Amino acid sequence: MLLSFVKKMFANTHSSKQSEETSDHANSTHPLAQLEETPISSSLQEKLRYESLLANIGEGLVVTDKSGHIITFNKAAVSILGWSEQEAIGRALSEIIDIEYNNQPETGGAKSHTLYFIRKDKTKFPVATTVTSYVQGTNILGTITLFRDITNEQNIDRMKNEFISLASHQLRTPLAAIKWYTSMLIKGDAGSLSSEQLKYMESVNTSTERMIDLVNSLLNISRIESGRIIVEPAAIEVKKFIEEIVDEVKIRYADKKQQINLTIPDNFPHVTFDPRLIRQVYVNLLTNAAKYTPEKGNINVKISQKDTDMISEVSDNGYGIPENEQNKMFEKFYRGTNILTQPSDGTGLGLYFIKSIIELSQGKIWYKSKVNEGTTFWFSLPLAGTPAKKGAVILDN
Amino acid sequence: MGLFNNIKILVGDKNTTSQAANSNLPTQSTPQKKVLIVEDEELLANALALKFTHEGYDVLKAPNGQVGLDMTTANKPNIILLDLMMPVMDGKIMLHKLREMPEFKTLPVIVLTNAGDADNMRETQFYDNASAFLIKSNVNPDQIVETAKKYIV
Repeated sequence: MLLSFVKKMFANTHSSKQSEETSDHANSTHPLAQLEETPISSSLQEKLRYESLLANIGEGLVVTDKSGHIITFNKAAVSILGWSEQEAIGRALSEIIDIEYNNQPETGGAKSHTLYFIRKDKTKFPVATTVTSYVQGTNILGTITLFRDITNEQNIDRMKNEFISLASHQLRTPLAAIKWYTSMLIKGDAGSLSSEQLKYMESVNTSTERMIDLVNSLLNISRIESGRIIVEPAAIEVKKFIEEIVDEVKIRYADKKQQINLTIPDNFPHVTFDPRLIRQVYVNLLTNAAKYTPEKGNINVKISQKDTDMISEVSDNGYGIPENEQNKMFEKFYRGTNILTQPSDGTGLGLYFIKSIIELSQGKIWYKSKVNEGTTFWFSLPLAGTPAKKGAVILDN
Repeated sequence: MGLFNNIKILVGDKNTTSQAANSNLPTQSTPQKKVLIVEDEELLANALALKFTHEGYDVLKAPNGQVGLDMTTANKPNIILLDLMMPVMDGKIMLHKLREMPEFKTLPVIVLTNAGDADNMRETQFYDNASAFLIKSNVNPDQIVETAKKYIV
């Protein structure tokens, strides 16, 4: 459908000079209005209809022929880029649209790899584009570029991140006060408490810790999403690194009496990654496994090498994730409907968070899960190492 | 997640537990050590003051970096607990000015903030030699006392 659309467009704009003039003329009076007034052939009627459609598309549209010269430049392109249609037609695409990539924004919340277009007046703006080539058989006839200015989206995104970050900082101060005084009461600093009073204070403490966890997670996610996170890789002794995390989780979930086993070859090589970031991945996968596996369940961590990757496997025989929800499990705030009835304190941010970290570290994450049988997560990290990345923020470990 | 944060954030010393055991020794017999708390949030400053007084320390409080500097030169505390975001003079500037004075070049300073940005951490720890960098909401007063005891001279 796109192809026939483009062919018609191509045929139309590639006709004689005279027809170019008519098309200019047609643009000034509305072509659709003209259709009603004058009896014309149905094929011409069709051409004009397409022309009008293209001219009035809300996104910028630039079509080139195979030599890269512009043959269509719609109204939106004119208003976004500042070049008139007459100026643009016949010129090379690169003369009209100057591009600039911004891979490492220094400040602000702009995402990495933003593409900018430069207007006629040399000002630049961020764009979202779709570039496709159109073909006839195996012949490439040219390219179609659709684009829109995403300054507003970026501003909203930045404001959202700033809001989360500000709210989180402001929330931390009163939370710290609640936490500190609760801890002092429990410790008996203001006199000893009755067992009933102590029980109530423990509940206050548990809820406060949950809220602090949530604020920390939101803050860390806004840091990841800002694109400004620092990646500081170091050569890590993998076995020791994971053993320490496994031990921490064992202590934290000791009351669930689960078996947590780690399998890793003794001579496993050192791997270069950011320990602060990757630590979060293991902690999250392991605490998820512990939280969503009943008492006395089994959790296994297995580290291996495959091709050029280090593969980490974390499996449990817990509640599992319903099949029809698995496509949503890496979304922010997703929580399995089958575990909402279980007494657990998840935020729905963990998987989203670690997927971002793994991708930032040039790895991948995948899974297999069945309700009431368990879940297995795998993630890869390049054995060749994660490259360093400059930035402005780190996670609070 | 948060429960583990406490363990890893302590900087530069792995002997937390053995040091903590020593902390139960009576401190009253020796001349009292002075702790200066530079913090604009009164609730937090008071909590720390109570805790350190209870542990047998002399406690001084300053609501901003300027007063903090004045009190440091006048009272020569043994350790400073330093907030970062404060009116009049923030904690980073106070620490920097402190390090410019030869007398206080190595005075232990524990940064206690909720703004754990990379810049704050770098500037205070690497450039101005802060002893530790703690996130307030991720530690409790006992852990702060424990950390302070490791650095008090």
